[in-house]
Amino acid sequence: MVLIRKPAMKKKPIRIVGARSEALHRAHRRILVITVTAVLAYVLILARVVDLSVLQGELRRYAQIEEADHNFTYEHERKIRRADIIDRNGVLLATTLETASLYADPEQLPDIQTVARDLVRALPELSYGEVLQKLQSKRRFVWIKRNLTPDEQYEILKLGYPGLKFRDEPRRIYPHGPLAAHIVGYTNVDTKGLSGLEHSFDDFLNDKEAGALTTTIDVRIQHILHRELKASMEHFNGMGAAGIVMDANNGEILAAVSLPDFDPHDPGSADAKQLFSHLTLGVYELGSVFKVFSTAALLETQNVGMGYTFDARKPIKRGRFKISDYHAEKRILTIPEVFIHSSNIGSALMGEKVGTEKLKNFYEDLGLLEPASLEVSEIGMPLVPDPWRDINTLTASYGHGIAVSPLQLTSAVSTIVNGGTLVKPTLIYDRNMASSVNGSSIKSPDLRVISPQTAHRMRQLLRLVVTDGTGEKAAVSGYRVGGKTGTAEKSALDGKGYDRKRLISSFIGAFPMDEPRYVVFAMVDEPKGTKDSFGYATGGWVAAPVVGNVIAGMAPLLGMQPEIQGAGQDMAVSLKRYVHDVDTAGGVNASH
Amino acid sequence: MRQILRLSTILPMFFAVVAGVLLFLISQGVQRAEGDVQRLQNVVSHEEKTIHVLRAEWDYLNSPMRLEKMASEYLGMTSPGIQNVIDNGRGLPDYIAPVIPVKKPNLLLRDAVFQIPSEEKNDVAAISAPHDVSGDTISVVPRPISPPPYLRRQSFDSLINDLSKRGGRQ
Repeated sequence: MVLIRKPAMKKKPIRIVGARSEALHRAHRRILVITVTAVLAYVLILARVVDLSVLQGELRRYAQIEEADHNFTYEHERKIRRADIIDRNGVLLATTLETASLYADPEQLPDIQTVARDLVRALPELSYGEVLQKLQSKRRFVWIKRNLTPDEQYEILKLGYPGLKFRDEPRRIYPHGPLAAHIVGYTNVDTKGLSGLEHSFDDFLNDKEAGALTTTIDVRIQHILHRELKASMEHFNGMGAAGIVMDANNGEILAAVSLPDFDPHDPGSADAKQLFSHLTLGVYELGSVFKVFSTAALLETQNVGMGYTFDARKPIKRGRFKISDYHAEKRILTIPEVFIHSSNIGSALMGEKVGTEKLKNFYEDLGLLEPASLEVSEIGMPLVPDPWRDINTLTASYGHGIAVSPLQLTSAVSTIVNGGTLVKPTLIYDRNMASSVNGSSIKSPDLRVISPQTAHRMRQLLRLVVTDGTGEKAAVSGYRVGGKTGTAEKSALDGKGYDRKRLISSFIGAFPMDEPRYVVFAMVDEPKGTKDSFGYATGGWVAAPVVGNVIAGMAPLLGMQPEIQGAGQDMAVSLKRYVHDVDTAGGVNASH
Repeated sequence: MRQILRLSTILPMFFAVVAGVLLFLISQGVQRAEGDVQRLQNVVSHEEKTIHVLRAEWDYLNSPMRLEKMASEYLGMTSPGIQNVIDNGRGLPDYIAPVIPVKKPNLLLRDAVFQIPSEEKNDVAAISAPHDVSGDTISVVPRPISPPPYLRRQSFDSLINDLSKRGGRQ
């Protein structure tokens, strides 16, 4: 093979032949292989560079840039969203929605004074001076307004200033507004719980893994109680009102209302009276409803029959104290008569017969001397005589000189009517969770306070009050309501004694009395008598109809069948032989 | 040249190139799939957010106070008196309302409610109620449902917008 090669400088080709020519060929081939390999390697590297920088780099980044924002928002929101609070049927009582909050970066704003003027025009509740001061600060981040509504956000977007930006923030929403405000509570702008369940379950609700917090509240019954209480409060021109519906057997609170109430979206505009919970925080001398406990104590500890009598002919005088009846019967009364006439003298004598120590222990067993245990932090301390003298035993027997919250009273009456086992009130459907907060043990055996026999006699007495006594306005045909009225005088404003014109009128009822399932309490603070009530503002006129209406509304809703009994079948009929003037007994006017 | 183009050289190179191409394709496929998953997750979480808002809206619009007011205002309905309950005791709902209706809805009754009967059809208007009470049938006479003269806008937006003056300021 002859290789002709042109020299670089000479035009005449050089011919290389023989062994040298072969070596040159081999060298050429090797160079070719190395070149091809190198080119291939570079092509591969180039392809990979294009892949990394273009396909997986910029293009992907641009494609995902919008998604990334959304991803962050949704994922972020799901992680930080405060858990819902729902009622026993799954209806939302509190939930968290995302809202836009407006902030500004003053360095990016063109003309601060114009921007401030436009901002105030779009958000009229802001003040020009305040906004201008914020925008003139040298910070790169200033809040203008938190939690804007969609309309407000639209107005700001319409302005089109580059330095005005939004940040999504959670906002607590209460779909039912003030309906259960004192129970559910409210949060601050950073969704930190400040009162009610929002406060006591703050950690649970902020737990990322937490599901909804299920309460024992039933929104439908809550509404009925709210409606009836509000109507009564307005009709009798009361200062406030409170009501509870409790399951008599397990202490679950189906409805709890305190009036006046407030909008939990805006607790800042509510005054102290609206924020105050009459249910759990307020303690009151509730008057004659306490006769339920003194009578139960007598029947439980003294083994007396229903025919046992007390001399109510004259007021009792103990030192400087004088105990008299509101509508004095001025005769000797049997136990049922003391109960249905609501005789203070008779009840005081009952307390005296029971004895100071035993009555005090009995009240303690019912949970009346300790703060109630409930899953909210607004719990009032009961006012108990200290030291407890004998005269306190007499007054405490008819509900004076001792102040408890409506919640305590309702729990204690539930204990009496359910057969005698202690009831611990709860707002949380899941008992495991409830016990972790209020300390009650779900596995603790039922604690018996009174015997089933005493409980049965008390149910008869309570029924008798509605059939023949002061609580007849609470009667609901077919549901066998029983209960006790209470009309307590409030302390005089000058601190001396009691004011006969400032009353707390209440009624505690239960139904159906042969096997009570629910206890209903209603109370109106300082009601004024009307023409309809002939000037009376007693528990029988003011609160008993509320309880009756609530029962008439809630019982069919809960699927409870009305059952009409003959006159002779009523459980209270056997007590009527101890009542010597049934026709004239009590009546609603005597409800004290 | 023959030495270079030997099968033992070409085959590995071929396989290397094929493997490289496959790897590239698979890598691209995986990235596409990851993108799809991400997009779907976004859609799901967006839907979840929408459902959450709708649920809040549903419970707001179904608040007992509002329903009672509307039922009274537009349908003239009031709470049943206790005597009604006693007379129609068997018509009470179950204590625990089933989540899924046990019975299929009565289409006849549904039609009676949703269809506005023409004048000629008025003679076939009586339809039995779903719950018979003591053997008697209750006649449900369908009546024309006309939209109220003015329908105030009552929507969830109003709740949100009601909060306009209440947003926290800082």
